[in-house]
Amino acid sequence: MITCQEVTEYLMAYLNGELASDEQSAFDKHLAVCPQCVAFIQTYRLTVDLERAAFTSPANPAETDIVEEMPEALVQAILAAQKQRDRQ
Amino acid sequence: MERGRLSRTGNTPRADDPQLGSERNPCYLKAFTSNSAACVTCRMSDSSSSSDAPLPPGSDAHDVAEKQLLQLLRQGDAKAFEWLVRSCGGRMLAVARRMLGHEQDAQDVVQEAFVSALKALPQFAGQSKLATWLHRIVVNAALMRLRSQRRNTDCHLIDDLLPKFLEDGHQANPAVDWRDPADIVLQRVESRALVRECIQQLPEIYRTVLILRDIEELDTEESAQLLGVTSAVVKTRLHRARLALRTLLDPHFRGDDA
Repeated sequence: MITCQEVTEYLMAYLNGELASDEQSAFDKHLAVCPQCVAFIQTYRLTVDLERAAFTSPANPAETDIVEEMPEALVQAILAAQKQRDRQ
Repeated sequence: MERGRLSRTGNTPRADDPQLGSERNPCYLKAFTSNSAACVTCRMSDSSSSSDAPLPPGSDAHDVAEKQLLQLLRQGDAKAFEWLVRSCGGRMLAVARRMLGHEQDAQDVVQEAFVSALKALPQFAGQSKLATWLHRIVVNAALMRLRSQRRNTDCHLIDDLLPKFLEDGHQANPAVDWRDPADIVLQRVESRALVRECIQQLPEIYRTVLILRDIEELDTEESAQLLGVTSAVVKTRLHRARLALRTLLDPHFRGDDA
């Protein structure tokens, strides 16, 4: 039986389906008897979901491609830098 | 930088703005008229022109519009460049803010990225979408900025944030489910703010990989190439970054009184 420490160490490979079949089987056997590791995996998954959600709009969680308002001063600075480059 | 001295002129130019069009190709801006979020050449909204249908990314019309825009940019068309800055700058600024967590640095990086993009335009073969190319340029510029400075010195050490285990391999601090269902946690604005704060607390090399892989959605190989490390290192850092972030979030969300 693998340990909780090994479950944590190889968790990403497990979730990505990168483990060999016997390793996958050992994982599944451990999870069948270890509620702590089941909870750990659930919270790990939720952490990843939260990361992605943290930069989306609450009004539109499906929209991951956030577009910030472009400050006009920044636009003008970029255009000025480009004109300066053109003159050089 | 002379940004602070420049006046705010305000409005985003419209596709029907005669000052914005090109004499050489007056129709090209008419084509750039979609509200599609994923499309560089379709960012400009022109609700007054009913004939200007959205151009779905990957469509023939989109490809034609993008080629026209690239041609104008290569010809040094100032108005086309201004249109590009206004239509793509917001997305690039969002990327820079996510990666740097510092407003002035983010704006500086976006400026550097646009200048770099124009300089590199002759080498852009058009094999990838312009949006993808610009995204990589701003990511690279942000990485260079991170390498040139080490602001994040008060962050945690990664070892302090990794799960601890007893000698027999059991969890030293047994995990429990978080108290609220995932969909509730994900919807809360304060949860999002907390996650952003915790990401900023990660050691920089781990935070960078986490943002590149999970937020900017670069693949392992591309992240490795940008960072100058192996794919195995990227995988290890990503896993550790997620574990560390989970550790930081756990006290806020766990379902018992621990």
